[in-house]
Amino acid sequence: MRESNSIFFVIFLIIAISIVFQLKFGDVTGYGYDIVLVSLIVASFFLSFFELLVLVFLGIFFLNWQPGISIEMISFLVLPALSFWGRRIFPGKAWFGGIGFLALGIFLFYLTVDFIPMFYSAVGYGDFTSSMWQILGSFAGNFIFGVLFGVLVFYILGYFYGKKEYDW
Amino acid sequence: MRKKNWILLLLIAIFVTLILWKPQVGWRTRSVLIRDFGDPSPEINLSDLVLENESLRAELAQFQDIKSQLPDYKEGGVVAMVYASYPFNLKNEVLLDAGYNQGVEEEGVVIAKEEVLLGRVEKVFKNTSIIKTVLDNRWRSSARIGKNGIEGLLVGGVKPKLTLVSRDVVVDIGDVVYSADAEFPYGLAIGEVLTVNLSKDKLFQEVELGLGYDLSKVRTVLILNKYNSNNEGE
Repeated sequence: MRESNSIFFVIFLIIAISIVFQLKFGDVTGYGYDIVLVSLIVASFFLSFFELLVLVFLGIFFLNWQPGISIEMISFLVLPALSFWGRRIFPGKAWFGGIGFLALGIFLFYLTVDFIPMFYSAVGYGDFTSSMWQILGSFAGNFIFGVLFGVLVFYILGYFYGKKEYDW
Repeated sequence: MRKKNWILLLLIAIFVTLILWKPQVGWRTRSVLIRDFGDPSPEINLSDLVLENESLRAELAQFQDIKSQLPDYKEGGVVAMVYASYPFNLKNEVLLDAGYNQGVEEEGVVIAKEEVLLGRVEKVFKNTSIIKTVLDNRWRSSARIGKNGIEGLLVGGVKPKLTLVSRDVVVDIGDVVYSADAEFPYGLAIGEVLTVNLSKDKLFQEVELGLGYDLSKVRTVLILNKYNSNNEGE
């Protein structure tokens, strides 16, 4: 099997496992973890644009929980694409860029998807403190777990398939 | 264009078609993916038993608190199955398999196991609808605790809580918390008291709630359309 095909199938497997994990165990702690998004951002460093799009739509197909298009699904499409083009615009150490885009991706996803719950907690009913702590706890947990998971996947893929044109 | 890219484009087209025109294929596949395999006793569902227990406790508290008979608010309710739930961070939404065509209307009250309040209808589509559950950060409603009917404000979230509970009352751990909001039938179980603390400003008590059941395992619900307006008409 050619290397480009082999990495696609490896990443396909990682995304598939991430989907099952997010759906089945994602809310074990009460908070969902966005590990599919994290895997897709990592994938954007290793795949061609079309390969990445296939996996993005695979993720949307399984994670979409309502008819039609939602802001969550648009973010799901845009953030890995942003990472894909971003790494070309801002070259440098791949692992450093990887962490940067992972952190940015998780942050932007929270900002777009959870802006309304945050707004409600902040000004909706005057119970700013306790609700906001819950949200910050969720964000911090997701952020740390997401970046660590992403770095692990990034490192494994980089070790086996690190492209020569990137400075690792 | 290379042959490989054509194959990838074909795959993308298939996924986009399914997502936009046949999303139920995804929901069904997803429910198979997350099904509990190897459950030795599927007939005895612990989650169901806990739900039933919650509802019995709520019923008991109702009879201790109010003596009069309640109107039959369940008449005309729509039974729906749970399709999928929100897979991301803070919101807690659930997709049901009934929509406009089945008679579901926005703001309908969603209950499970006869007497347990799950949430309310947020969006209605042709054959599906989305409910916002009591675990959603945006949820706020009036509720009461136990046989003495201690009042509080239910604030949704990963750890739902009852705020604005008077400092002068004694709240017992394990007491049932039930709905007391004009927008819902009175006395629907919500959860039970887990812990009791003073609020940050020390003016009220704050009660942390335990649902006692796994919301992700609820499969069937009853939707009561326009509960409030029906009730006012009686």
